[in-house]
Amino acid sequence: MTTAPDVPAPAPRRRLASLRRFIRSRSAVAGAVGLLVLAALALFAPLIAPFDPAAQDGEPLLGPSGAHLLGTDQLGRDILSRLIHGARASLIAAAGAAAVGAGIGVPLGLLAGYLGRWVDAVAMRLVDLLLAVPGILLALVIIVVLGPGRLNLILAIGIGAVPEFARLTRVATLGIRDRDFVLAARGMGASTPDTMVRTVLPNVLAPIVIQLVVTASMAVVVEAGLTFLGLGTPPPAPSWGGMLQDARSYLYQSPSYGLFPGLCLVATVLCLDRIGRGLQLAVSGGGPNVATRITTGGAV
Amino acid sequence: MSGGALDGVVRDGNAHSGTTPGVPDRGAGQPVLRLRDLTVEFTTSAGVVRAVDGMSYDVFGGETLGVVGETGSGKSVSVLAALGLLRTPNLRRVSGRALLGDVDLLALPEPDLRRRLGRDVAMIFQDAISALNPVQRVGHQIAEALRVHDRALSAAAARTRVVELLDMVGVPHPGTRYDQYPHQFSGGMCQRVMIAMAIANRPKVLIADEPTTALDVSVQAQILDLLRVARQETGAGVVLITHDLGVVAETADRVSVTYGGRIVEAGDVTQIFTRPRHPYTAALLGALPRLDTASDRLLPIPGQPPDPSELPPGCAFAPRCPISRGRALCTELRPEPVPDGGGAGASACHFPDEAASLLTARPDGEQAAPVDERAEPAGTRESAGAPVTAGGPAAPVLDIREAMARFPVRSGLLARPSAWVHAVDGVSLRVPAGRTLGLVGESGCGKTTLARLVLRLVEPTGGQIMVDGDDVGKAGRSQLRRIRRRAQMVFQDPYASLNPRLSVGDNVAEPLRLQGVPHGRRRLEVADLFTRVGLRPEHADRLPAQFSGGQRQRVAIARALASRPGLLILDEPVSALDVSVQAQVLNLLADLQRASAMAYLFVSHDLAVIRQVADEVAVMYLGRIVESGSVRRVYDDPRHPYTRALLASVPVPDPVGRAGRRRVPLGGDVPSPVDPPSGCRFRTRCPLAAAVCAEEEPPLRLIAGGHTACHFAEQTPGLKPAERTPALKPAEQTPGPEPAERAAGQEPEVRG
Repeated sequence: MTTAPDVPAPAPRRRLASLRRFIRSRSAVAGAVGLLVLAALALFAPLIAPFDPAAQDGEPLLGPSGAHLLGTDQLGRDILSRLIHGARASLIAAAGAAAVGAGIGVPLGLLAGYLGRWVDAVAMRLVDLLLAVPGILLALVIIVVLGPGRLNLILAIGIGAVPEFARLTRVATLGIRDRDFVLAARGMGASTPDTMVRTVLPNVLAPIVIQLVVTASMAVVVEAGLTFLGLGTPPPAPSWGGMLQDARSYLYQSPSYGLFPGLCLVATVLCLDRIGRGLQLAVSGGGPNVATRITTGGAV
Repeated sequence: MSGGALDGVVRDGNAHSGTTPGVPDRGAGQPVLRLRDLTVEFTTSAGVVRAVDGMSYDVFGGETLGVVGETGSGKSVSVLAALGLLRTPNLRRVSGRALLGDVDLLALPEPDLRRRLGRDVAMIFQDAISALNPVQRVGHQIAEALRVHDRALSAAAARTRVVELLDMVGVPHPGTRYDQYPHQFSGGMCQRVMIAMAIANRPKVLIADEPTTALDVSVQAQILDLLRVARQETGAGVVLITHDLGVVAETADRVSVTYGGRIVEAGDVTQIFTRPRHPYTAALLGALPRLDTASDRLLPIPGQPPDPSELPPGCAFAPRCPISRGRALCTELRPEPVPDGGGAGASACHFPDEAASLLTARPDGEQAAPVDERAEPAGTRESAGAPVTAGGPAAPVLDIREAMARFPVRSGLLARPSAWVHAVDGVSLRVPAGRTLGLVGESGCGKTTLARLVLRLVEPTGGQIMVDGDDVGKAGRSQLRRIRRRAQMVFQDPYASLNPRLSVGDNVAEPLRLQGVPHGRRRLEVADLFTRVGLRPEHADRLPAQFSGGQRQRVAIARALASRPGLLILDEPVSALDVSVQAQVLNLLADLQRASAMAYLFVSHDLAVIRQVADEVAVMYLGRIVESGSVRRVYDDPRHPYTRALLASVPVPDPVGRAGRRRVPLGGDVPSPVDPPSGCRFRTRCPLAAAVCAEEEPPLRLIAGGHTACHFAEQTPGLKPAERTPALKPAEQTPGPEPAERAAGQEPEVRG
């Protein structure tokens, strides 16, 4: 072969550039650490919690003290232990809802965007239908129909998140459907499903990952809200929403009772939000979109 | 720091000739624009990047300075920075001086600068269509340019002046056109409007940043003519920024060659092209495919243009330089521009006198390789008298018969097709094994659609396309997949055609995976493919983003080769690449063809590239082949007036005798394929058109060993090129909605 060996010494640049950018954003890292701590608490709750969350072994409505760090509730249960166990409900709902939303929404959007024509029309009208009902109302209806319970709760929140995933995926798919490399995949004999999964999907993944985090954060709030309304995690099990509901009646006797589950919710949502923001920067940072990085780089 | 050294050079130059180096001694006096030691830095993730590093040049009134260089050489950035137009947030520093007369633009406060922009200095951008405001009437936009600098001008007076201007730049029916919107203008017409806007205030300096790069050759010739006239009209000094050596050779008086953010050579245009004093200039000339003289093999510059974030400490060109040969001086000490004896030029090379020998030594040094290469293709080229459409000796790998592709133009509420774009309208072609058929035409002529038809990436509406004897149009799903393995496609834009999420190795392995080749063997084959296209196998797991354009195109070629196809469809495979890299890829394709006897269908708008690679040529116009035959027949004895006009429009990279060359720019734009002219489709722009042309469509006839679809094909060789009609005026054309339709036609609608 007479081909002069070209000098392909491409800059040994980072495959992990996005990760590096994510790490550079301090608040995103803080969010990730916070979430990891929370996840560890939830996972190892029985080992970490000082008391059994169901044990009614203290005086009711104690304030924070040496024995009960955050006090006790109206039945004398340790609030700290209940908070730690309650993290499970929140995180399971968050992860489950995001998975359900993406699991239905992404394939729907991919099909709609790639195949177009009637598939697109049908899928998008379906999504419009879902969007016409406010998220929490939709979840309410679903739970009323299916009955309360952890699984139904996840399903209810997840279905509410389907439209965002579907639309996001569809738009991203439309954006790359006619790009040359998709055409090239078809040109070398790839079938339609193969093209969709191997070629299109990986290229629309970035916004979907961000949406996953956003959905999780939304699900934490909705789960708490539904539980607060008595439709979420059923009562004996500890959950932050349920604790808020209980604390409402004793606001005057023990103001700190309601404070702690509220703070937990805020902290969780904040963590997820920072992670989402960090991911967004990490993804957009490498592209031509330098402006976003510059304008927000200092702030986050 | 370069500043001190450069100042020294400037003083030197003064001692020599009384002016700066690179500037001829002109009694004419002051230059209108002087850049002095301009440096532009950006902050990027890779650190501080110096995109422009101490550039200095002068422009005199009434002359054209060509600034020529490859991507990333800093040629555009320098001018944008000088005018304060660089607004990227990661701009770190602009230093040096940009003197407009006696005023330093860089030191000027914003309002003062704004007052001068558009009045004393005007820009013409590459993409005229997006440089115009789409929601404002074209005339108003020009009028605004006038009234911003002259508040006293009444609306009526402005309108009169604008109509005058539009007429001057050759926009037909300026009165009507005044009230139209940019989308009703074609690309060429938009560029005319931009030029009208630029010369509206009779600026002292006119800066044209790649003004013709987005245009077809025939329109490019019109616009270059227009620029010349605009310069004469206003007496402005023109800075013509371009990557195209041909354009420079045709229009510039003096040339500055940029490389790695610096000017490596400056001088008179004839001197630059005939006696270059920098090896980069000489090497660029060697890498350029020529329309006038067919060369057997291009001399590419090895490697890629430098990444401004990691410039070598010595000469930026040293790693690719044929005369450096690792000399310590070149790799350690950065050469500063040194004026040559006469003071007319300057070269930033330690050994400026060796560069010219590079150009003259070329034919001899080249002899070795082409000899054996010539042996075979020469034979085929000789026998290429056999017309493309009549079939070669061997069974053709690709046989296209009367292929047709139409796209609906949808309009109205129900999106019913209201008209059809005849993108490909009855084309027949044959490509035998081991040969290259070049398909040329302007944008919108249907050449890309035709290329895609072969793999049925676009559904054909009629005709028959046979790949290796299998009918592509009738193939079922699995048969189509088999055909698509035997015929592979290489796309124009290597940045878009590779899957950015897969490593280059996986990209290349995709066709193998689809064929069910097991993983282990895939890796071996990929390594083999990488070596064949001149890439290092150990880079297989890097992502496409880490490679340059030329390397990516090699990856794309490797991917196309993976399924061992007998036919490669190359859709403008080098038009997104720099000249030096383009030559590498063209040579690679030639080598691959020699080694495996693949058939190539090579689609391009670039006539010089086609001459370089093809055995046979087909010229396409508005969905039809107007002329075909061997390269020699079509280029040396073109019988169709369209081919003749195209060939005459291509700028020749040789300034010697350019005054004597009579270029005959084609008037007007390509008509809309929605409603092609009756009879001969070319008749609306044809200098020979007669009554019969409107009535009868000329068939492709065998003439002088090739095929030509013209009623007057016998007479054409005797014709002298028509005297150029008033240089500014394109042929009259209807101002109606045609350009809009054309735009619609260019983007064929394939989905429902």
